[in-house]
Amino acid sequence: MKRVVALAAAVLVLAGCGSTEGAAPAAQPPAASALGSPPPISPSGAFNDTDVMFLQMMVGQYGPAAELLDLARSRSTDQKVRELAAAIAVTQADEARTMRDWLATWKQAPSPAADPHLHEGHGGLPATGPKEIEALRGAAAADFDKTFLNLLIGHQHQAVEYARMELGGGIHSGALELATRVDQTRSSEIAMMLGMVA
Amino acid sequence: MRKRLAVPVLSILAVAASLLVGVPADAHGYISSPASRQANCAQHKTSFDCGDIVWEPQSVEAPKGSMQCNGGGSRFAILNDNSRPWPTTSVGNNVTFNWVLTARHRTSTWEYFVGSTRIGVVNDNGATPGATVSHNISLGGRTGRITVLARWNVYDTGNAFYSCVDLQVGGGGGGNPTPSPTPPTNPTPSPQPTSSPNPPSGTTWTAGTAYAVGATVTYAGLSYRCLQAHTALAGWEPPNTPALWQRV
Repeated sequence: MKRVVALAAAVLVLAGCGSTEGAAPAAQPPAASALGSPPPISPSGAFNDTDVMFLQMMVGQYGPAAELLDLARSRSTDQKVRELAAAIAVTQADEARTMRDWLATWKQAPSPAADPHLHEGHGGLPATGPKEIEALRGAAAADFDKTFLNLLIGHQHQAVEYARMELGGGIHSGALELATRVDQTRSSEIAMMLGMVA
Repeated sequence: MRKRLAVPVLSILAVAASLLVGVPADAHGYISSPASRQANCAQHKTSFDCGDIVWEPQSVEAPKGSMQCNGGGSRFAILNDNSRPWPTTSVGNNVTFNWVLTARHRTSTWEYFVGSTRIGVVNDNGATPGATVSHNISLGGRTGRITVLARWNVYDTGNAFYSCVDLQVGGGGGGNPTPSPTPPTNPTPSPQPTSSPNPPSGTTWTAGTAYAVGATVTYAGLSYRCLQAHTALAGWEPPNTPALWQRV
């Protein structure tokens, strides 16, 4: 039953996240992905709902991450943590700009418009909300790094999930390339941060 | 009857799920420190191949009640393999277990076991976990190499998330070392590749290298100067990261 509910929610989410209205036609009908292999990369710059959803979910992720990263850059007492936070902050700012530009070019909303409750339960919306950012802001100095690292590790895991989703179903070559880099960089960042939190 | 139904239902869901390739994995949490088995896998700190768990350490979800590190079933079975040389963390009798969460489920309990003995339980009574989750658990005077099984029991589903943590307890003392059948412990994990912060100018960009501001590298035949100190990662190649590297 839970699966059915989750699936229904997922369908609604997809409906909410991506709309093909006004989109360039997908190069391949969705049935192709039911066979288990990703659809072919579009040679013509076309995109599909998965590309749109990937960009929207990523764009939704950057804001909370930027807040966590800003706090870490100013409050962490560990130079390695500050340096990593600073590098993640600037690289993600560039990614976010690229993704917003594509969504605008494609005439798609910059963020998933669906009711956020629909995303609960399948890792949909960012795990980092105002409550978590407040918790980090209020963390005692001695607990700051641990709090920051555990929050950002969870946050970056979500980006990996979105990237894997895109790599399995997207067709836009630029979005696929970006997803590959999101997957690589977040996985490496998580490994570094797990080492720092230990 | 249930079983017969299950197959068509599952295959319908499988087809539907792949149609919607869109849906990210249902993934939620694990112990980050002391490093759980899946946390060690995610850091590539094991001497063996962990398989898929490497990129989704948060996904060890299974029905409640299992005493296995993967929660039972066939997925991530490597986590159950006690014959593997899992890295251990040296600890004292009181250990703070820290969790990474990627979704905040209402929680009934957090349970900790050594063998079949439950050594700790924290009852959240259905509350949603806070921003971070840490529990201080007494190991009850146990010493030597032990494996702690942790279970995060979700309040409103039949599932739990499983993490196993390999510990070397009290082994760091002076006069009375506990013989351990396991490989050397790894008390100070440092996944950062050791490298000079200022490698010679003009070397080839390499992931894992720490670059200082002003360092120069070549990548794909072009030269770049570092704009911001960082340790290079796969995916942060100079042409992809104008915020970190400037063409020279």
